Amino acid sequence: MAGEVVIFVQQEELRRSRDVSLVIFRAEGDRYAIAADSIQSIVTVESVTSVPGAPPAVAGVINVRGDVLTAVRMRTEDRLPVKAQDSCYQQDVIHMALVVEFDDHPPLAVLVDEVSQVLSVSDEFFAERTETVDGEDGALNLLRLDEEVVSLVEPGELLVKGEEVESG
Amino acid sequence: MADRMDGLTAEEIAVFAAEAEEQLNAAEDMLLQLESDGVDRQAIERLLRAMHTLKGNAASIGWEDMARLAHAAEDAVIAVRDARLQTTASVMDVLLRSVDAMRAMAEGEQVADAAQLVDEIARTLQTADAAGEEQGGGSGEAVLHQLTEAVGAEDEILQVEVDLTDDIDMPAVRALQVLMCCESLGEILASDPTQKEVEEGRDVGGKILCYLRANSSAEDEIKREIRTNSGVARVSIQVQSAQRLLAESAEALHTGQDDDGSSDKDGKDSAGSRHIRVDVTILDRLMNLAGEMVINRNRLSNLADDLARNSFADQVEQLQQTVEQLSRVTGEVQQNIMQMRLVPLDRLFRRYPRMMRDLQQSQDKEFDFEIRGGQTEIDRSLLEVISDPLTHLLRNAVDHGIEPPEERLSRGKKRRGSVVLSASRRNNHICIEVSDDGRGIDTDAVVRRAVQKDVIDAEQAKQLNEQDIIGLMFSSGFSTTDEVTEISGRGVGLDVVRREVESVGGDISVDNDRGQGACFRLSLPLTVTSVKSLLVEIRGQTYVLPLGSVRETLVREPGQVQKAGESRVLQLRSELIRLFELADIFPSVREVDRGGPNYVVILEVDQRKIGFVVDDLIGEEECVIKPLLSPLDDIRGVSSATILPDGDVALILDASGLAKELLQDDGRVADEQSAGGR
Amino acid sequence: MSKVLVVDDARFMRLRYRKLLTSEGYDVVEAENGKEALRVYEEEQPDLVFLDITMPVMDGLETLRELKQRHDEARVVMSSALGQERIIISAIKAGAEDFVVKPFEPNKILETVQKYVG
Repeated sequence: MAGEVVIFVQQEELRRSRDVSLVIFRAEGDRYAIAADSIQSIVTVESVTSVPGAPPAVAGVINVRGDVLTAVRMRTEDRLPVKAQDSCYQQDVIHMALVVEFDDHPPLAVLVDEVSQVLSVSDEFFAERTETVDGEDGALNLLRLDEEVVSLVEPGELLVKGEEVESG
Repeated sequence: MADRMDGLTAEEIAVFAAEAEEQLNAAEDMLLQLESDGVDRQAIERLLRAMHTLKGNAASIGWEDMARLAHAAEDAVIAVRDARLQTTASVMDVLLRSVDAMRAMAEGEQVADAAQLVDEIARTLQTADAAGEEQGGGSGEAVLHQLTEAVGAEDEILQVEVDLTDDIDMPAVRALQVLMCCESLGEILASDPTQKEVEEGRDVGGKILCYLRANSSAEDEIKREIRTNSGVARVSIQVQSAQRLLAESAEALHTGQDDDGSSDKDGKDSAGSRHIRVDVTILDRLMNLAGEMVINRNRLSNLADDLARNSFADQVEQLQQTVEQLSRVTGEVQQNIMQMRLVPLDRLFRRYPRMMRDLQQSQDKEFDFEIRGGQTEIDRSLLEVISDPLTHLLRNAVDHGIEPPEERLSRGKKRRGSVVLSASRRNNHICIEVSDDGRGIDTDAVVRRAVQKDVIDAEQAKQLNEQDIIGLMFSSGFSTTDEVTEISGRGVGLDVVRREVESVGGDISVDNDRGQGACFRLSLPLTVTSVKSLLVEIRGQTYVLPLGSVRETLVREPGQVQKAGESRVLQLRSELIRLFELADIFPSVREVDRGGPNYVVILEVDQRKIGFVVDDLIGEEECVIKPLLSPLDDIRGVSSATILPDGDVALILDASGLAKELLQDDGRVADEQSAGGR
Repeated sequence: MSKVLVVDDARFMRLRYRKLLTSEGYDVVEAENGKEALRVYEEEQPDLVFLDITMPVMDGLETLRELKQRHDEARVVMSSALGQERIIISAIKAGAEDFVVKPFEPNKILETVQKYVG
């Protein structure tokens, strides 16, 4: 079950401002940032139902206000298949999910450990502090904040992960 | 009468007679329908067509008296259509007698009173017209008639929808410009916002809806005109026939029910449409039931208060009673709501006779097409789902089932084949059958093909029974003839057909009588919003099995299970039943033999029984179906999800998908073994 | 050559219109109030009129009505500030073809001129 925490982004305000709004979150130990305007809501997650036969990046399904949404994990490079018997997928760690919207795809819920802050930065700050580095899985966009470095997540990347099918 | 047939060949006479009979039968049916059900637009149109055809045919061979009678009858029907003539008993009587007379004439008899009938009809019309003028046409029907006249047959009502660009300056001004533009193109019958609202400075938003009376042929021009206005992002126009709109209002006038406003263009019903007509009695019933629910809820809360104050026995008994009542009422409410979603299958079926007629002509095949049980009701959302599969199966029946006439004759069959589409309700599901008396399925050819296509190997092929073989036809990419026709790529779609049917919790099976015909049977749930299910536990997680495929459940004692090669079987009475676990299909569900007793759910799929091993039986429940979204919408064996009372999600397993996956798995095991032996 | 009449009490606005439109090959004539606009219209017979709303002597709406009464064929685009929606609605009803909103946006002005005079 998932309860809604907050719908915190006023889309209209966002359009008007020239700032970039980012949601900073932690997932499986790493820190990430994602554009706030792609987030529909942030929900608490009480349990994740695993789906046998699902692609590895899919942790399972969760109930978000009566809709059954696909829940994906941020880390998929190790390609560990999700075991059905881990029915409550690392329940002690997972507390929340970001519900991410797409233009031409149903929403996905991204499982996160915590949402640390919602940040508004100016265009200039954003441009100055972003750099692209070579990661193991190809290019990574990093954003240097005052106290830490976070990976920038493009919503599209989540989609690709979700759509990859189990190989073999 | 031979002298009347002069100059016509025998074939021409036969065609004339056959068509006359057909039209007269139709006319008779429609007249009877008008008499019993009142004025119905479609019946009238059909009647007019019949009279018109009869008139033309008769005139073309110089049968003046029959042509005159058909003409007179046509006039009378037009008068009924235009509400100038009431369908009184005497009017119906003279029309039915005219049909009888024409039938006699078409059979070559002399009919003495044909001219009298023509006079009689003319007099009836005169009287009716005179009466109409006296009354001045004050009735509701007369008003409708005036409206109809005023609108004119060729006029159409255009439903114009305009989206304005986001972030434009002064949207109200843009809306006004669009409305003024519409006004210059036709007559605005209604709009949202209205011009007045715009002028009063009402917030209009970014959308304009306008019903415009204009000639539909100008649709494109109108679109272009509206687009020239600044700030217009999108224009869409739907043509609705004024006649139809009026006919619908007429219907609403007669039945006193509110029209749902959905257009029924080209006779097609958009099954997913969001408005439905509801029988008032059902609404009343629902209202009462809702009332009872409220009463019971109040009783429950009072009881809770009592319980808090006192203790016990009395209250507990009352509590049980109340809960019982509440669950009865809830069930009834649910049933009533479900009933509101039901529509007769005829809405879908009625598009097929035409398709079959066209197929007949393009294929040089001769057959009769019959529809039975079109009044059977089905959940409206299912209509759309089964439309393509049925089209496919019907085309298959013609394309591959029915033999050409010569072949049929040489096989000792009737020259004309038969294709039947039938529907019936059986307990808690709907059964739809497409059957033909053609070739049937050549199972040998299917097996050869499957081997050739590497779906199975030669060794496996020997062990297949008839049902297994037919099952092969539904595997993906399978095809029984190389000659793929334009009409229905043979076999190419059967796997799709199966998937579509299974996606709504339905099932498909085949009865095959080789050389004599085949019958494809769809079994569909009554409704797709919820499904009666068995809840089971597997590896700590709850799964849902629709009861439709569950035959029985039993406790598995370790001793009962035998090994048969790689698979395990269970002896159930006289049957040996193949056992499987979720882990057999999804290796990620780790299999751990807990040794202790667990349970076996006997599933029946395609008339075969298989045993599904589960850790625990939780109970039966009515589960509301929630779709799984991409990328989880395509996992074989998992059809959808539901939300349990505690808010957790549970997956609904699709028994027949599991069974088929299992069959494929067996194939893989066999492959691995043969690979290992090399 | 197409001729455009710009009616505005602000000389700066007229200047900007003139610069923009002449650079695109239009002939521009000016008037600084409604009364003058009517006279210039009759003398010059322009193809399009940009008409400011707030003007001394005779305001835009009044001018529009007078102009349309005398010359029904006149094609008028109202030039307005934000917040004058109600006035624009009245103007459209009185026969104005369209409107542009200040501050002055060259592209929009050109688009509008092209739309009505080509």
